[in-house]
Amino acid sequence: MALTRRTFIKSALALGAFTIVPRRVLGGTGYTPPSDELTKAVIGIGGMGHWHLGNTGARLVAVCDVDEEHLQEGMRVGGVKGYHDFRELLERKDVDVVHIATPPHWHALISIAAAEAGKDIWCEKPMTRTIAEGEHVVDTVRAYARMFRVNTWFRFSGDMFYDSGGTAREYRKLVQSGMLGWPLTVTIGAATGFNWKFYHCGRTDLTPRWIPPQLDYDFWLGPAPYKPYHPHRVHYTFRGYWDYDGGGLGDMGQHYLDPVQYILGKDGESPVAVEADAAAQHPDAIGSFRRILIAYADGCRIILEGEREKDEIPFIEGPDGKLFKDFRSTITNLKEKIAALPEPEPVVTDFMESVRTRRKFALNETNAHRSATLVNLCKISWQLGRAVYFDPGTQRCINDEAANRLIDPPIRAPWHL
Amino acid sequence: MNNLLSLLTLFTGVLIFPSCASTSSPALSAPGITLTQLLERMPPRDTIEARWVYSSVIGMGPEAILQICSRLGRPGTDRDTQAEFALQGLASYVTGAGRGNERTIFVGALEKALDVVRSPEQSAFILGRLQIAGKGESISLLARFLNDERLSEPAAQALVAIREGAELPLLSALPASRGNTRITIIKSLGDLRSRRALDQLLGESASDDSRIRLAAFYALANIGDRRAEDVLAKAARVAPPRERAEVTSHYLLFARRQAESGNSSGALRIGEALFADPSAEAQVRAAALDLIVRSKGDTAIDDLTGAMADSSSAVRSAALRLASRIPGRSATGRWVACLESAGSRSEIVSMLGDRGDTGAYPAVVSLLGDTDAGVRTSAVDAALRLRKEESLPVLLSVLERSRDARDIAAVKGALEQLPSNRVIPPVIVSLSRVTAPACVMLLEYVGKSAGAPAEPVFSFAKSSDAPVRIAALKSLGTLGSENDAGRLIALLLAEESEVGRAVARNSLVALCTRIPDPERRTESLLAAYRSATPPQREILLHVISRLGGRRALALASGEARSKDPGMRDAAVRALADWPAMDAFDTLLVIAGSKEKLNLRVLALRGAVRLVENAPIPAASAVLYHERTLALADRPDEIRLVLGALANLRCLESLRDVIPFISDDSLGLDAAMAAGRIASGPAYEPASENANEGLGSRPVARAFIESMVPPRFRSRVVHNFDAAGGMNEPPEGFTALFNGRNLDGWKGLVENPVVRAGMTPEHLAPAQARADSMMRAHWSVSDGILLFDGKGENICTARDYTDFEMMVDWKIEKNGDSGIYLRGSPQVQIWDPSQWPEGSGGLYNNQKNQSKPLLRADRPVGEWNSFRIRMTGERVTVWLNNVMVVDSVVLENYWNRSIPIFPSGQIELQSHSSPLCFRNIFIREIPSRKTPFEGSLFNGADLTGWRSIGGNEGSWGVDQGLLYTTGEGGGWLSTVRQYDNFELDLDFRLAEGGNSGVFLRSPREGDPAYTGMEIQVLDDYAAEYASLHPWQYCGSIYGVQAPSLRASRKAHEWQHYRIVALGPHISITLNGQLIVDADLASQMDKESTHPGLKRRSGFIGLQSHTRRVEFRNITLKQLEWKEDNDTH
Repeated sequence: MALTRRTFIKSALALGAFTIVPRRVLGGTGYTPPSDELTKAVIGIGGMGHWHLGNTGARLVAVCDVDEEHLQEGMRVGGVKGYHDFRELLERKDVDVVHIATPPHWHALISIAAAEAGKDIWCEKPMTRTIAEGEHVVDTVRAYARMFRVNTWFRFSGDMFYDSGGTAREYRKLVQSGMLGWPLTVTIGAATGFNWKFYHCGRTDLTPRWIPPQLDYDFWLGPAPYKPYHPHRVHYTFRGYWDYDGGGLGDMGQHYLDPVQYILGKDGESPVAVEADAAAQHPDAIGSFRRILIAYADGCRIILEGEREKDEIPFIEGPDGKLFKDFRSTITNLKEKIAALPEPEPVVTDFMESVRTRRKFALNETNAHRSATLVNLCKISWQLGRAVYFDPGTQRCINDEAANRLIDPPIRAPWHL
Repeated sequence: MNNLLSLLTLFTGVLIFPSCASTSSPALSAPGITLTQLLERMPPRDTIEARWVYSSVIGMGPEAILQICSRLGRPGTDRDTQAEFALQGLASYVTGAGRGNERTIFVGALEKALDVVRSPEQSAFILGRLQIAGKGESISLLARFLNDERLSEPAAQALVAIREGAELPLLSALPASRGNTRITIIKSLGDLRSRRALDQLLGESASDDSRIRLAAFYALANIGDRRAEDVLAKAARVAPPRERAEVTSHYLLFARRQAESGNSSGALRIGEALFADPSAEAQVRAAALDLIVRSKGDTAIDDLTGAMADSSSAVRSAALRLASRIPGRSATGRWVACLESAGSRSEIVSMLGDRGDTGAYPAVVSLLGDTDAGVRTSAVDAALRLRKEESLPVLLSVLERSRDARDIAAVKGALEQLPSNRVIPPVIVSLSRVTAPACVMLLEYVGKSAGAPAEPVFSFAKSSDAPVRIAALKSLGTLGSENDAGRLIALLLAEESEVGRAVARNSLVALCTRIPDPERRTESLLAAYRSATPPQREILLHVISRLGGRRALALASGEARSKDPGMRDAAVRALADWPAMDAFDTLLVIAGSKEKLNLRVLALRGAVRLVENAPIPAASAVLYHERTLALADRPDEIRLVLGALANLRCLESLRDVIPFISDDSLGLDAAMAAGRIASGPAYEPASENANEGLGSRPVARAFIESMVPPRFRSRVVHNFDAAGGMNEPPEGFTALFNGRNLDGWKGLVENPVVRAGMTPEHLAPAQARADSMMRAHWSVSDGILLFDGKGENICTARDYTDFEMMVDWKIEKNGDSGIYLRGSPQVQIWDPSQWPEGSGGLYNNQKNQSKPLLRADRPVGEWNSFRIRMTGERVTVWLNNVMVVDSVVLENYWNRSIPIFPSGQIELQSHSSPLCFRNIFIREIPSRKTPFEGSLFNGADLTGWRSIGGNEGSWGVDQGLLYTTGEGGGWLSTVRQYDNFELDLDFRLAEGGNSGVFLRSPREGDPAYTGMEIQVLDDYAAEYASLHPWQYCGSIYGVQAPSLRASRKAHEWQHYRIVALGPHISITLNGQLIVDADLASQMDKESTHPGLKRRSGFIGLQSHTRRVEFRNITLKQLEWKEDNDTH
């Protein structure tokens, strides 16, 4: 048969199909893969899960959800296989990156299982629901040499740090230059450009309801205590319950606190005291707070301001200067002065680059665990209704057994950390 | 702690510190306050109130706490919520420092309460509070719940939280435990790292149940006793693929525990074995390497450097990450030595930078000239990290030899991380030594540093290398001062490249703009202007115009009257780009002059642009535009002004636009502008923009509809609608078409009759073909659903029964379409000029009216709106708000002998002409069909029943009785499925008889679990004496026991009335209500009993052992609505 143009193209395509094999084994920079294509799976196809289905630099091959309706949503992309049980999904050898967009009470267990299965992990915020869970994730990710990122952006993206008026990089340059003096107080609240989402409150009037047939509620609860089903506990409103998250603080806390931790240069340490000013909390349903104070040993403080929305409060205040929302400051020509300051050390800001080169992502298990610890420590003081004092070395509270029980609470069998 | 407290008290809020106010005495309780009053204060609003409330409650003694516990368990009530708040608050409060006595009182009361409360929910809640506040004294009490299926989990969790003394009760409970309880206990012993449990756990690790086995492996690993090694090693080796990762992780955990407890050699052995295992996954080998470093310490350096030769990149990168665990100069030396051999050199260099050991610096510097670019860039980065500023000379020396963009970028990144005041001096020295591309980078770097000197840069602004010259010109924009303006002007005039001139102009503007006095900004330029040649003047005028100012304007206005046409041209262009409103009058003069047409248009555009950019109120802007409009005489010019007026949403602009609507050539533009003005933001008195916009959307729409001449109406209205509100359903309706894509629609497969006969296997591919056909011919654009005139009908994804729908449609000349209801033709759409009766009729009716009552169509090309209501067989149609069909029966086109189908899809008909649809909304009307009521058993045969899974012959009818011999197994199912109902039946049992009534069962699995079973049993038979309560007659089997025994002896007829209403199941046996259950609160059993969450299914009768007879089986369907309380 003569090789016509058409058959030539066809055979070239067929050849291509055989030679372009997806890259399954990840290499360092020196390694040139047959195809640079990375593959991913998304676990949890609810509110945030939809975002993860989109283009993140890897091809979606599998989705997982314990709600059949959500699963079907995730499978609308062609060539994607659906799973009910994430453990089955993790058995697949052809998945490079696992996205975890479940409610937070699942983040740690799935992260750990994914690391043990040799996957790199892109996990939603808050990284974990308790401090002990975070410690286990850090240990496992390190031991198994995996790449990990938490899905918040403000630490490293060029965009504004919420509505504060500047980028985290600019604030960091300013703070580290010492222009504002030391120690510093950072206030996170509506007045400084950060809105706590107190609509993520739980309800105390839930009477048991019938579980919808498409939802595997027992699996959805997983490590969380068994409580009678009510729709308000699950999709989209789960943040209002201590068993699964931490209300508006759980939702936005790591978003807001992680960049502040970076700005203050606290990636390697934890605070020594936290005190929440709030109404007493229900054991199940989360309410709101007025103010939470986080104090570091060197005198730096972070205030989570849940009220005083209209007051003029500095975002960052030091002995030598104040910085308000929209980058207004007591220091003149601040933007120009900041531009002349040295840049912070560069970091990897594309997770797929981390996955390929095995260089740590900008917001990885180590610094993300520190910022998740801020959130989880605040939750403990908020739940107990008293100040808690923390030993940054042992990562446990001082002389407060009840607080330590909240740092490392037992979970429901057969799940274990 | 004192330092800390003073630090905390700096805080300006009103925070109270427990240790400051350490008066935790119950004396705080106020006399005369009742417990009820205290509970009504729940939740306390701050720590002061909380302390007062909780200490008061404790002061009232254990009785008060018991009383609070008794309020628990009525979820959703205030009493329950108050109790939950109070007990949680108390639990936290009593764990505070110095509250030992109060804690004892509280915990004692909780323990008493556990004896009193009835429901497992109450008990579970109390156990949860013990998890917070309990200590050793509660251990024996908690032990009691370990073998309670529903409470073992919270009890075990409380024990694990207490830790001290918890292992013994767990150990004693283990032998008798079953299922989930056993797993909970094993896992808890693992959490507690109980060495005493070792022997029993080793036994469990051999269980046949994989869940128990896995729990035991975890527990053994976490305990970390050497005696478990063999079991875990073997498990990791032989684990089935599904469990392999988990079991291996347990084995690794075990090894880590060994290392922690001092048995490094044991840990090392495991690590080395796993690392050497070729079948192990890369991440497992990485973890093994981690273990080796843990157990070997510094001597593991050989393993790490050795791993750099590993074929797995994951292992190599793991080794590099572990490198930081072995600090010291000697380890650094080993890594440096590693660089000699090939592979991962770039990564090793990066790691050396991370390590921070300056011992590596000479090696790193030597690699700055490596042949591998990756190594070079890593070396630049590492050198910077090791020596900071001190590395500057070597980094800059890289630029003296390299033109490689990667090297230049790496050095640039390094420079940016250093303080610029330290970097600038050496960089300026380097400028003349480095390669041209590096010079460009350094000039840009210098240009970003406002404090750097301009002088050295000037020499590069004359370079013959264009990129270098341009970079220098650019930097001068930031570095140059007022005094440098003259030199920069000279450079601009000398510059030959267009790009270079643009850069130089920008730099000049930037430099001059920094001069504080606006009038002095153009000083140097004006001076240069006087002595410049005409071509140079044109260049300078361009810069001058961007700076503006009075003197500049005078110059430009003068030159606009120059005799030199080139000069005039340049001046008008400069004026048209003027930065401030002060050029407006000059521009109008030019626009109204006898200047060349292109310059007049330029001036007019400039005038319009100036006003558009000016920060002035809309009404004043209109006044300026009116002056421009007065000068505009060509349609293009008028159009330009109309366009500007369209953006000013006020009455004044509308007034100016309206006169043009009747103009032949400008009418459409004017009408569009009017539509745009009228569709402005709705009038909101409170908003700052109160003057903008003309009113609410309906008013505005009516206004433009009445104002715009018919020939423009449809385009203007479309323009208006495109501004918002399209495809958004009115209240009570949902959108069938989302305006963006074809979600919710599918292609047409055959007609309803043929479709109904297709099996799922045939339907699925046919549907897929139809869907791709649909996507080929139906599309969405600008919120409109478009049909290209080819292909088939488009159909709603689901069926509808009774409904009211709306749809806007638009057709072309001779166009033809229609709306199919329940899959049947049709509400007619066609061109009224061809078919004068108009659209809306039920065209295919033969017996009933098929024509519309009157013609209400708008002309072809305009949008029409249908509202169609269909209930039962009857259809009512409104076209453009006029009723054209009044409750007419729609006949069944597909089978004329039967009435229209009770439900079906809605279709938009294709009829070989292009079509447009939008605003497709639907509201379903709840149907009023009468539910089934009557006998399920006809007394003569098994009509309506089907035998499932058993021997057909074992079911029969005899003398009006339905019976089973009890020998055939299986069950008898209704043909239909039922959801909510009242079921009545009589049954009669032989001695020891056993049967059951299945509810909502599927036909798969054991219907007692896949659905649910109402037990039918001879309770009195001796063989059943030892049954669980939830197995007796009248129980929901395995779920809910009858509240009392209402069953009769064998051979007597008994009567069941079973009501299933949503999650509520009530059972009345022989006239006594014995079960009144809410399945929703039984959902913790759902994993083993999935039938509890089924909403509907078959009703069935069980064939078990002996003969059972049934009669009078009647059923009445009930309505049940899930309430809407799900916000």
